[in-house]
Amino acid sequence: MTRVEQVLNEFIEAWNAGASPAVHDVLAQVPAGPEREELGELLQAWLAVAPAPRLDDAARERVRATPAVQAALAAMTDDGAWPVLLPHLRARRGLGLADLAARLAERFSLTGEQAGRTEDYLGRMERAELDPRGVSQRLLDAMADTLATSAEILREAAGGGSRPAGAALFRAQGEVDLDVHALADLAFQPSMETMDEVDRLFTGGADA
Amino acid sequence: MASLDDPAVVGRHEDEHLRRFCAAREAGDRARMVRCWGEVVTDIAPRMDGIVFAVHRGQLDRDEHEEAVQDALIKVATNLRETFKGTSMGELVNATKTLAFGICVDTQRRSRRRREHEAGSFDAARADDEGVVGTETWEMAQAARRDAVRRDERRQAEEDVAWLFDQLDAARDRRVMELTLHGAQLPEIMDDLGVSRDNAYQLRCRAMKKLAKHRKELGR
Repeated sequence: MTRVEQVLNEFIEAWNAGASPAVHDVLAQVPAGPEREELGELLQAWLAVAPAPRLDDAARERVRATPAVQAALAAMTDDGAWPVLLPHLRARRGLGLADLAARLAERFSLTGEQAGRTEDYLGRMERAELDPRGVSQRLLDAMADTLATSAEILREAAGGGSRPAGAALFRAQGEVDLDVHALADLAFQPSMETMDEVDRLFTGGADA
Repeated sequence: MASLDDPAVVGRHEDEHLRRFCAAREAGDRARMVRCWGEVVTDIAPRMDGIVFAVHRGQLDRDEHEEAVQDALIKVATNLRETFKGTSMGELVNATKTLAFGICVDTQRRSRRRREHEAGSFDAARADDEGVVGTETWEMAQAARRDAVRRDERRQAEEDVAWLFDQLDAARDRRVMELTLHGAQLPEIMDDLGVSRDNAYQLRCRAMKKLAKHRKELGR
């Protein structure tokens, strides 16, 4: 049996066992060139017809424990996935919190003091202590560029509380429906005039 | 003949989670919908690496691939929960492939911007003979492409399985692939057929090579 055949069979076994084999890891098991190309074609053929893997309770727990799935599941909660996703994305880019703050400070031409506060705000984002509704789109755009993801994904990952402030006030067909909690949130937000650039980026709302 | 429409092929356990989600959606029970969707996301997560790879066919490097897998899982968890209207795992897998296609395009664009160099691209369709077409036209073309992908993927998979079983003359070969496509692992196959491990591997490889060759000839 050739090495390609061996690796293909091991991949299928792992797949059917619910072990989530990573395609790139599997491809790396054979030398680059014709063998890897052949394996790639065989894997694609398998993936085109592959059945759903069987997952017992232990396998399901292993799946849920992976950072990517943790982030996806956390994105469905009110707290959102930023506490899982942001450190994961930073680590993937080899950036500490201070590094990310420095990149953003440069992007927005912030002072040294503002860069320090940027780091504090980023820490609060990663601890789910910052209301995602306050985070500006241009900050998410800049973070997405730096962290090699999309601003849309960062917004999606913000969780159930990420609806724009004020949106809850209005319902369908033009009917105005007062939402006491949304009003209270708005009442406690600082006015835009008293905010500096860092505050606007992190708490000024999507359009700030 | 095996088909991806066969519930045994797509896997009964995950159909059950999806069925519960659909029941909650039907009842308008949002809390239960969210709970059930978490199970559905767990069901589909192990396939995401393979789904994304099958979509980009090796055009994304390892880092880009991992980005795409992460983004696809988040989109499935959040966006697809709200937009998915189907009722079967096959429909969900197809919706995931469509979503993964868009994500692979975005990932490669981002990566290209970062690296600032040109490479073989999903964006090839963006440039026409006279240059780059407008964004709106590009988005419409991509939407049309995604629709086409969604329609074609399932049909192709069904055709592939049907074709493969037509090609397997020996009952033993057919049985190996039937069991494999039902998610059976090697010991189960060896017990069922009374063959050695190497023999089962060889039979499976032979079938997969036939399928890979067939797909290549069809330009898939």
